[in-house]
Amino acid sequence: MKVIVLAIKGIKESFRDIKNIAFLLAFPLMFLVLFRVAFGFGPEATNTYDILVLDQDDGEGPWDQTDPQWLPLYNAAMGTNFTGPEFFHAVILEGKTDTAGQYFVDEILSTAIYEDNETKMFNIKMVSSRAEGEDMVSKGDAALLVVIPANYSSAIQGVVDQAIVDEVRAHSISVNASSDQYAHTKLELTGELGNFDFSFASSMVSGQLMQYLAILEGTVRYAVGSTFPDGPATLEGGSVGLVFVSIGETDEFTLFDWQAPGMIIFALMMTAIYVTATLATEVKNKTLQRLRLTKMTSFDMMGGTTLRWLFIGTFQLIIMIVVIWALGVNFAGEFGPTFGAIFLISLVAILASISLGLIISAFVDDPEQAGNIGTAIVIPMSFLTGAFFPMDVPAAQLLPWTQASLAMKQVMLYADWEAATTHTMYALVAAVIVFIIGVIIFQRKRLRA
Amino acid sequence: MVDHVIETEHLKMIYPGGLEAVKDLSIKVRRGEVFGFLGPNGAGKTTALNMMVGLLKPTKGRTLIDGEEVKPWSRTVKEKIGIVPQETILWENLTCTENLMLLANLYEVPKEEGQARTARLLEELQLADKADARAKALSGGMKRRLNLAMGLVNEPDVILLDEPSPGLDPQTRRVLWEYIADLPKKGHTLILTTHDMDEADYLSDRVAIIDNGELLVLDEPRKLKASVGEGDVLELAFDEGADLQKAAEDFTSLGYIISANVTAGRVVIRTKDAMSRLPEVFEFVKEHDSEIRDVRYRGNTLEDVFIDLTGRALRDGD
Repeated sequence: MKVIVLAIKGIKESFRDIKNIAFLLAFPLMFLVLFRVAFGFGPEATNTYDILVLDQDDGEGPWDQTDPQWLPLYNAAMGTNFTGPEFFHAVILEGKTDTAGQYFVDEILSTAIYEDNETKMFNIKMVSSRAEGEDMVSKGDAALLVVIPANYSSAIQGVVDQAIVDEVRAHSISVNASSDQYAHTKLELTGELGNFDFSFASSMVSGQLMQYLAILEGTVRYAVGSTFPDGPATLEGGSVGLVFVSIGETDEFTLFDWQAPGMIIFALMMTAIYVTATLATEVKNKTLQRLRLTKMTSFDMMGGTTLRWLFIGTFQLIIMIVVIWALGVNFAGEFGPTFGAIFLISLVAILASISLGLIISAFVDDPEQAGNIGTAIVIPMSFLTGAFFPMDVPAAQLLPWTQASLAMKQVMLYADWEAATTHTMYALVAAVIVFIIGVIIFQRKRLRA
Repeated sequence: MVDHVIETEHLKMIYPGGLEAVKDLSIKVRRGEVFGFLGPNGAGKTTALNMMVGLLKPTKGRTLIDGEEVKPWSRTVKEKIGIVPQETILWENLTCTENLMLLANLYEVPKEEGQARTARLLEELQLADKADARAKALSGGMKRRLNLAMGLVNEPDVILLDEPSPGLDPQTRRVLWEYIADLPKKGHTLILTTHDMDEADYLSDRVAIIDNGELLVLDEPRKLKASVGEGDVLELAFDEGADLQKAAEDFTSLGYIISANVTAGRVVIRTKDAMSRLPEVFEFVKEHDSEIRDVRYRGNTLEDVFIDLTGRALRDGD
């Protein structure tokens, strides 16, 4: 079989070129290890964000000057005798802090955890000035700086006042808002807007704030409403809450675990560059011309090339799987089926990469060009396929690597075998189409008389 | 009746852009001969050869191999033609044996037969002790011998040898020449293209000279050399600044000079009994206020045939 003869010839050549094969096999290994180090090793390290807080809240509000209009009603109903400031500290701040800002830091942000694994969301460090905070953020010491404004307590009093007024009015009792002096304020989240950590941390801080405000309003309304004979007009703790829950078995997953499926596909896409380089070498050295003089057919050449790279890719894949295992990457399913599926999906991705190599090599004349042009095509394409982060490019869904990447995620992150099978089948069909295109182009450009 | 292995009929090649590389080439190559193909670079030699052996489709005309019209890169071509290219085309990371066995397999030579041929070729080309050495570890001469073996492993009827020995040391060159000269005895027909007149003269049974896409002459080297004329050749190098063209014209006025022309920066004169005429030549030059810097004496070569036909040296075209 000439296909086998050519495949063996290629494999021998590859494994005797020590520098190339070492790089070829070591690349995914280095790549995965580097990303592992970059993204950290444990869930605490990856999911708990370092944030800075500059608390400028002066703790003052209109209730310091004038008791709210509904307070007598509240005192009568509850048997208390709070003044405005006493109500604020005892009820709203639960007697735990002096200011609403301090309460938000100590009782909300500091205690925020992921619902499933009880991992803390934030490590908080207080700073004494905006400059200090910005300096630390710019040096990468924290994901962001939260600036709590001076009038934050005043704004919180406004929220509570409005909630109570709303509840009282819900019982057909006319009451006015106590003051028009409540502040409208904004918390500042300062950081590098394009930074991943900033994006994650800021969304979680704002989530905590929104949740706190919703619960505060709901709780206050419920408490006040309970004093009426017809009961509260709202639910305890508000009608809408917010919890952070992991999908499936992903509660232990690190950021690296989420990236690993895409990383594997990216590493396998690099095969296209090696395929291009070896075929370009055959062209440059004129050995392809020599092969054409024999009774070798285009099918033999393409088949031999494909077998050669499937073999090398499999070798590369085994190393990669060992590395993934050694790095302690988390995955949702059981070991055997998961790695079996990773293996199959990867073979499809390798086939697609070989095909891409055939296409590129039809247009390059030497290995140097192959390296440059191959890299210029493969790297942007790896982004398009969503190997690193989701890309909203509908056409990219047609690429085999995109489907392979989705299949890999379904296997590693969710153990959803049905979805994985669907994506794998799409990937296989797309890979076969790319392969046929590659064979036709290479044949026309390089093997035709 | 003469048995022809290759016949070309009115081959013509016009490349895109209009360049007419070969104009009207009709040649018959006899079975078992060494057919020399000479011409300067750009003469259309490679194009003509590639059409002759079925590796290039002519714009017009046709090629017959063993009486059968061939299509480029057809199975017939692949079975009957072997090519020994000018460059050493080897898989550098394969051993000598692996290189040969690879081609034997791809030519569908049975495994045992392929192994036997590989061993024999390595032995005959003095590479047996390097059988397991990778091609990249071979010297230049060894690589060229392996390159030759690669063109023979399928035992083709016709072997195209493109510049088989440039840059080789005299000893390796002689080994190669002797091996090549023996190939017709084993039933092969050789088409040899070379710039080396000695090589063409030594190896070729017949020589075709091509220039500007046209066949100028085709005959045995001995007859071609004789056709140039009787006498020996003196090549005279003059001091810089000398008017060589005028000197050549002046020489032709002498009764004993058969011909004189300028080739590759030298005045080349042909005369009978050239050695005894040397004092007269020196005296003549002195009378014309010139000075000879160097003199070479030789018999007629195929180069002279080319010069006689075109007025240029083969190397002028390089």
